[in-house]
Amino acid sequence: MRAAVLGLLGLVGLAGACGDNIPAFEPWILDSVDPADGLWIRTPEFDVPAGQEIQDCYFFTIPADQPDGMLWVDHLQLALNPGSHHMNLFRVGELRALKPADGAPIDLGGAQGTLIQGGECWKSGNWANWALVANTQQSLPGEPILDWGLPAGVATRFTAGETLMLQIHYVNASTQETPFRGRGGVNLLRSRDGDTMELGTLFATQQNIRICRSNPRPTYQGSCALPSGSHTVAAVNGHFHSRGRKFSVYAWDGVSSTRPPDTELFYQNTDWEEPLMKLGMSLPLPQGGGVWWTCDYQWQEPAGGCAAVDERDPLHAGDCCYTFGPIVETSEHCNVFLYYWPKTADVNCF
Amino acid sequence: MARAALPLAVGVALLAVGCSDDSPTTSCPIGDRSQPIELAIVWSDGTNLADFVDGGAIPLRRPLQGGQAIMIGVRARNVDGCKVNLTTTLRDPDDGRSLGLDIRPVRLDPGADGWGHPSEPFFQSIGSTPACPNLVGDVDIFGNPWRVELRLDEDGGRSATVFATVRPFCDDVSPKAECECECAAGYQLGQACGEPDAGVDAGPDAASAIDAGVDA
Repeated sequence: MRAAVLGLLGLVGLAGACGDNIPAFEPWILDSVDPADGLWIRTPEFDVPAGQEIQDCYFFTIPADQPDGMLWVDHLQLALNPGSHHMNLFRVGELRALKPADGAPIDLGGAQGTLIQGGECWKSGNWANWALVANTQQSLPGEPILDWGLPAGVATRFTAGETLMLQIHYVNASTQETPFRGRGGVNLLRSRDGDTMELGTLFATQQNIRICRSNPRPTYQGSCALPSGSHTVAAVNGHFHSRGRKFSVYAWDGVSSTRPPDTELFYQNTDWEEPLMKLGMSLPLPQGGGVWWTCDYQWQEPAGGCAAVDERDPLHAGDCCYTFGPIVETSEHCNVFLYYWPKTADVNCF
Repeated sequence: MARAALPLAVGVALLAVGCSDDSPTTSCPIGDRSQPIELAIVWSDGTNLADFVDGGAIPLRRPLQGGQAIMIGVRARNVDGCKVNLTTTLRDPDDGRSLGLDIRPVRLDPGADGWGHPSEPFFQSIGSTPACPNLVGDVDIFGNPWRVELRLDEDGGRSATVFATVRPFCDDVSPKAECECECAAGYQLGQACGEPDAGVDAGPDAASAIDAGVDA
């Protein structure tokens, strides 16, 4: 069955397009999913007022009636209206100040859930030890849906009753625009072919970053080791904000403290706004190794002046330094999202 | 999504920056740069800097987004303190595997002793070397000896490296119970470590959210 799309959405989109030289808004459509075939989630549409950034956290659970108590998913569809900065799906782990029970009840189509708007949903320490499930940064008007089939034999495993969190960030300011309204959707499609290898995830981030007027082109680098075993990369994407000029990921031997040679480079992106999501990979990583990543930046004069940037600098250096943080307009990130098989553990490197 | 047009003035500023040298805009020679770079290891508890004694204890600290890191760096001489990158690596002393690695530009300010010292103890000039969670080893990170390797690379190719043994520990700042949980052998992502209703220090993330009015 096809999810109903309100005609009103299209009208709103068209109205938003008038006079702006922006293509008419074509609402994306994802088929809803019968419970026998998986799970579907749709957020409501929401406004993203000019000059603002919105980050919301939607919580929902994997339905209890799963065969053998498990939902194996080998095909994901992630959809976003134009203007999204990111949409990340996590397994809810240890609860800190971001708690599903604190959210407002919300109908998510294929599940009932709760919603926390802003507030604790901005504070990354709250989900520091939650494992990544999937992510997308793709929200071009002509390409709103990331359609991701996992490699043969590989699936993401969920436990019946497990709680997930879908986080969506929209920006409608000087660095990014949301021309219509925000909205996200996820389809988790059940594996039917007996997949036995579990997909693992790796999230790695450089936190103490500074991109300053006096040092305008810094590079930050890090490495992230996987547990012992053989691992093959299935997909990868990098994430930074508008000062980011090049994001690179290399296969790494787990020992070297110098950047791997270019022959080991397997991901590079220079488009911070719509970063490449590299799918369909089958790249073995070195035994005992992992990945090495680099973030190259170019400092830029903030459109609104340096005051807001300086204010959030922990050192108060007065050097217009962008530092680690979620606000696209005034802060920066350097994050790797990587998917591999077979899973030995979900990995976060900080 | 489509990028908003920047004001012309900003565009001019960007072009100006883009055409400038990639390096920091100043040069800060410390000592005699015709001589080899000399290094000594310093450590930070997040507030204060001190010389590190080989084999000594070093506190684990929780960065903004999570995990636990050691904050370790160098003082140096015969170097340009404004054009250096610091690489810090935490290694398993038995097999040399890297448990955590961090590479960043740092700034060293000249001191009265003729050495260049990290310009501050927390953020800009100290390596934030990831230590936990760590799935590489099968022993606790805290309370055990690990090797650190610190390399200072000056623009132009000169470099120096220094090594030491460190013993990371958890104290009440992290806080201790959470740190010892995240840094224990066998820790799994998602495992409950903190107090059931403990909040977290939101740090600049929270400040920026509040200041930007985005959580209203």
